[in-house]
Amino acid sequence: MDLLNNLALGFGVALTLSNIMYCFIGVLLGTLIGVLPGIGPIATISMLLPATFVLPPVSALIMLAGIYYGAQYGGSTTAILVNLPGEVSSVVTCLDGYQMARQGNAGKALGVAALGSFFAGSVATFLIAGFAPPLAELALKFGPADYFSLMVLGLIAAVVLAHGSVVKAVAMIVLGLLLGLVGTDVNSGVARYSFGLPELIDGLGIGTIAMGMFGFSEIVRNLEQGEEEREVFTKSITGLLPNLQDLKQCAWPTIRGTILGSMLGILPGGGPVLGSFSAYTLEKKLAKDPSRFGKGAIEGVAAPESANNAAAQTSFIPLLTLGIPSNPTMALMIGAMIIHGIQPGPQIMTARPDLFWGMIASMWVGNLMLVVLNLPLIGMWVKLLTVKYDYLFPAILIFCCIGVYSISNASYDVLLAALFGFIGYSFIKLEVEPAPLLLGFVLGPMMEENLRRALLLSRGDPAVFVTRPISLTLLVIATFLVILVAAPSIKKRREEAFQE
Amino acid sequence: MTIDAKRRHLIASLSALPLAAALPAWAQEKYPSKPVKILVGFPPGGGADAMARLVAAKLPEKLGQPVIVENKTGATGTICSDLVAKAAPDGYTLQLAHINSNAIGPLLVSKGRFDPINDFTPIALIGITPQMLCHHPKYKFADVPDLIKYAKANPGKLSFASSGVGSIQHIAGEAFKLQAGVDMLHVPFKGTGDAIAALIAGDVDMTFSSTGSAMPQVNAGKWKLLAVCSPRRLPAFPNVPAVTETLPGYEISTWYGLAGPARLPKEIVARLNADVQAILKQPDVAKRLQDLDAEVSSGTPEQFATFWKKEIEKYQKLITAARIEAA
Repeated sequence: MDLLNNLALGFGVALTLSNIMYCFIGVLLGTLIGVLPGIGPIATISMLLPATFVLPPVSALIMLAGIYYGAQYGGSTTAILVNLPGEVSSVVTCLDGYQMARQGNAGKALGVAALGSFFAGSVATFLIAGFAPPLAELALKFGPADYFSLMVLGLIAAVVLAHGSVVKAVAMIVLGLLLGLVGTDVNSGVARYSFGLPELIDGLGIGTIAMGMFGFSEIVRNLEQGEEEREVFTKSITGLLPNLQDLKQCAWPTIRGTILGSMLGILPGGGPVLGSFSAYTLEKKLAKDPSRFGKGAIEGVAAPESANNAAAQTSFIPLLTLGIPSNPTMALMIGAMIIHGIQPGPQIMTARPDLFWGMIASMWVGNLMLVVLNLPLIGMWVKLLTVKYDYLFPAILIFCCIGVYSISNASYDVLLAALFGFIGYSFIKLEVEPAPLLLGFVLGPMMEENLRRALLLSRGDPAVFVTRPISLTLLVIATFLVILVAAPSIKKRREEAFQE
Repeated sequence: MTIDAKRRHLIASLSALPLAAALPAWAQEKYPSKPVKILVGFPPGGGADAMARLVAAKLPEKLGQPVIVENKTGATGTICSDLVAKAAPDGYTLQLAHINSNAIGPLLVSKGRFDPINDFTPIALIGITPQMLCHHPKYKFADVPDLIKYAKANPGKLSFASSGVGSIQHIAGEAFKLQAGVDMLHVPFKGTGDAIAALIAGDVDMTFSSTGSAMPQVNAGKWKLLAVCSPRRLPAFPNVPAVTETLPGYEISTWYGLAGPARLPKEIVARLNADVQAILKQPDVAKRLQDLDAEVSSGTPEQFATFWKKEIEKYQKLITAARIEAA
């Protein structure tokens, strides 16, 4: 009954009046910055870090954590409403969420996103409370060879992400891989495709690419259409909230998304982005009629949104149990702990139980606040769509630019986002889906890094990929998927779907 | 850009001339008439950022003007150094100088973009954090000579993790290889976090790491601390030998300081140096530095300049000897 005692301690800390308040400030801020495209949790947490010096450490960390997972909630809002991923992990939500909005179902999409996120957040919080240390040990079992095989599986699965021609999907993935190569090579330290520009030494930012390719290009496409056409979908809004039928349809996708997201969140590196992509792919594979995806399938919103929120919660596991950051935001949290005189590491659970359990309890409280906060907001967000586009788009553009600039305080990034906006616009004209490109961009560098690291550690022996059980299993699944995609019957079905 | 910067230099120095000549005391008192910026080449939350914010929180009391920390990340901090090197020497743009952005980085990543010595004015050294040599507990090395003996008997078998090519951990490892005459495999990671995880998991055998990253793992028994890379044993760990006891002269530490662009007026340098030294003497600042595992290490601007120059010479030699290359 240790768990109950610990949870009691945690809620004792989280439910003090001041901590409830800081948690609320955190999730409110998180929702807001999640909604504002480009201004991510990293920029916000770093701006607020100095302000938390004066707070007690536990309150400060509760607030900062709230910003992080609150942003995962808010990130879906603009993805659904205006095809702008507020967070990188919301890129997949654009695919079906935006289509739902165009069909007048924005409220439903926002509703399942919020409810799915709450369910996922609660489950993942429970996982942290009950099983954080063994899960962290499990994550450490993943060696470089296993990571490589996981990435291979992910890329192959990405082919099924695209609706339409396989060739175009593969081309987009490869382009994504190439863009991912820009920057310093981890093994040799040599800069690749940087054209001697110091700004490119660290590679391209995924936020910059996503903002340009999804946000900017969509604005251009919208402006290109006549005013009449543009206004149509905004005026036929039906169903502000998901009904029972919708919820039933989303139950399993939400559960599957939660499981996938929780697992991937524990592994350093991928986290919410990988979780949302793979949850979407899985739903599409399992669906009776995969052609609905990309055209406003409600499961295509529920699954990735649950996955990214679950992953956002479980990515705290390596931080809280081992003191290892699994992503840049977690690295910031470590910085925050150190500033407050707390040494993050394996002993934090025993040395500072109030902090460990208090944070876990606050995550659940925060998730509850988020759903209470977000459901009433849906009506307001949907009304926003009725604002004339002539007023809406300059505002979106300005926020995008502020967001992109804030990533590393460089005006150069804004120019880059504009360039990717142009590329994204050409993709719309060429009828190619940019989503696989982003997945290739995320997975490619990780895949290369782990391939070379695995071979470095095995002194060049490629057998590591089949002698390690985790790696072997993943590669077998990947091979199976290739056969599935290559099988003629499936190919035929895909082409039929494409011709529709 | 450069023309613009040059023009600004010129205007700044021209406008400062009559003032400096006629009213030196007045000019000195007048210096901060607008907010001062401290640029940091690293993201928020890291050691360099923490140092900058620590100083920035206390400086306004002394200067009577707000002090703003700006993170200009990228290319191991050298994008930031480049900006500072080309900024006007008016005392309103300062940098948190760091071993990576101002010594190792300019020698590797941004070779030739700016001069790491002549483009800067050292103001004050702030702190020094020694590196620690740790290994996975599956090995039972008694001490550094024992490790060297094992490495000599098994060339290329031991691997050491670093947070990237040209990182201080990498340089520390290469320096160790050179001085001990052993062969070990360098395994670079993207950032410290991944490298820490790999050593806990046992994917790699050893690493050089800062005190702050190493001690939690050492205390939990996930890593074993073999030696420290400071010039002498650390007061906090009297039983842990220094590598230099076995390999004389071996010393690798991260350092932080305050610097400005070249040709910063002497009065401003003296003023800021005095302010920083006073700040470092405050008990709460000293404690914060201790929490960050940094030894307060201040002194005159000249001492910092000598130290900085020596560091660059030392790492230039190492980089050439170990044939480390990066963009």
